[in-house]
Amino acid sequence: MRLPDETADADLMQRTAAGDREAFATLYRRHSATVYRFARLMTGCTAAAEDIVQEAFLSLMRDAARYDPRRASLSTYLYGVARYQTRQRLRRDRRFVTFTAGAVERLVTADDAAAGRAMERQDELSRLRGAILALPSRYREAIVLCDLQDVSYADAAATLGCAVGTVRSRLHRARAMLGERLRRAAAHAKEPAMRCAV
Amino acid sequence: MNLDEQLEALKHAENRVAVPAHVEARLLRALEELPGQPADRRVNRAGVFVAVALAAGIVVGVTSTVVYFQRGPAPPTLAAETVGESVVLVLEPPGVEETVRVVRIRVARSALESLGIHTVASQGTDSVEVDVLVGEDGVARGVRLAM
Repeated sequence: MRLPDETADADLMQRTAAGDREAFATLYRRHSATVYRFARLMTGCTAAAEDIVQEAFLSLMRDAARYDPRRASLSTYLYGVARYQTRQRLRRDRRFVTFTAGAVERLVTADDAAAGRAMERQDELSRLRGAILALPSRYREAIVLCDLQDVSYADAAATLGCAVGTVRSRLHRARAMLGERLRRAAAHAKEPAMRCAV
Repeated sequence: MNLDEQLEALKHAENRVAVPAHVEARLLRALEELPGQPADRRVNRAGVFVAVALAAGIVVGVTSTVVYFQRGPAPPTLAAETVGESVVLVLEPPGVEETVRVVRIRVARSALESLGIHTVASQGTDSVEVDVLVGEDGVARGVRLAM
C-alpha cells in the first residue's frame, strides 16, 4: 500500500521505527534525491554518492526510534548523516588517486553555433564543479547547501553544527574563493596551449 | 556568465539528477541483512527454514559463478580468468614486450556489479580494492581483483 504523499515525515519515522517498510520506502522516495545530489556535489563521484545514500538510509532505519522531530527536521537530520558519511568517505579515499573524467583535453568540432554554445556552457559547468570540489570541505558544504540545494541559513547552521553567522561568513568566503579560481581557470584557458589528439 | 548565474545553472542541472534505481534495490537488499530489525524479532521456524534455503541458494549461486569463470567461455569483449585466488578481467591484451604498471585503487562494489562481477565486500565496506593493469600508453589492459 502506497502511503499518501502528505503524510508527515515524523509520522513516517514513527512507523519506520515500528518496522513499517512502506513508510521507510516513502521516506526514501521523498528524500533520497536530495541526499544523493548533496553527496555527488561534495565528492564529485557518482559511485560514492550511491554508497552514501545507502549508508544514510540504513542509518535512518537503524536509528529511526531515536529521531526527535522537535530537534531538527528530517531533511536536516539526513543532511547531517550524509555529511558525516561524506567526510568519512573523503578521509578514507584521500589515500587513493582520483582519475578525473575530463582530465584529457577533448578535441571537438562544433558543427554550428548552438552546439558550440552548449559545449561552452557544459565546459563552464564542468569548471565550476571542479572549482567547488577544490574548495576546503567547510566552504564546499556552505556552497552546496545554501547555493545549490536552497537550504535556509538556519537549517544549514543546524546541519553544520555552527551559528548562522558562521554559515554566512563561510558562504561569503567560499564565493570569493570560487570567483578567484574561476577567473584563474578562464585566464589559463585563454592562453595558447599545445593540443594533442588522443 | 558571472558566478551567480553559473551557480544557478549548476543548480538547475543538478535538480534534474535522479538517484539510479539500482540504489534502492541495493538498499532493500542491505535492509534484509540488517540485524535487530523489528521484523527479525518475529522470526519463526518457517523464517529460519527460508533463511537456510536462501543461504543454500547463495552458496550454490556463488559456486556456479566460480565454476563458470573457471570453465565457461569468455565473453567476446571482456575475458575473465581465475589466477590463484584472483580474477583477471582482460580488457585489451598487452603487447608482447609491453611493460605493464599495476595501480591499486579502491572502487565501489556497485561499479563492479555493473560489469556483472559480484563480490563480497571486505570488512563490511561497500568498496573493494582492485589492481588495474595499465599499459605504456596509459590505457587499462586489465583489472585484477581478489575473490
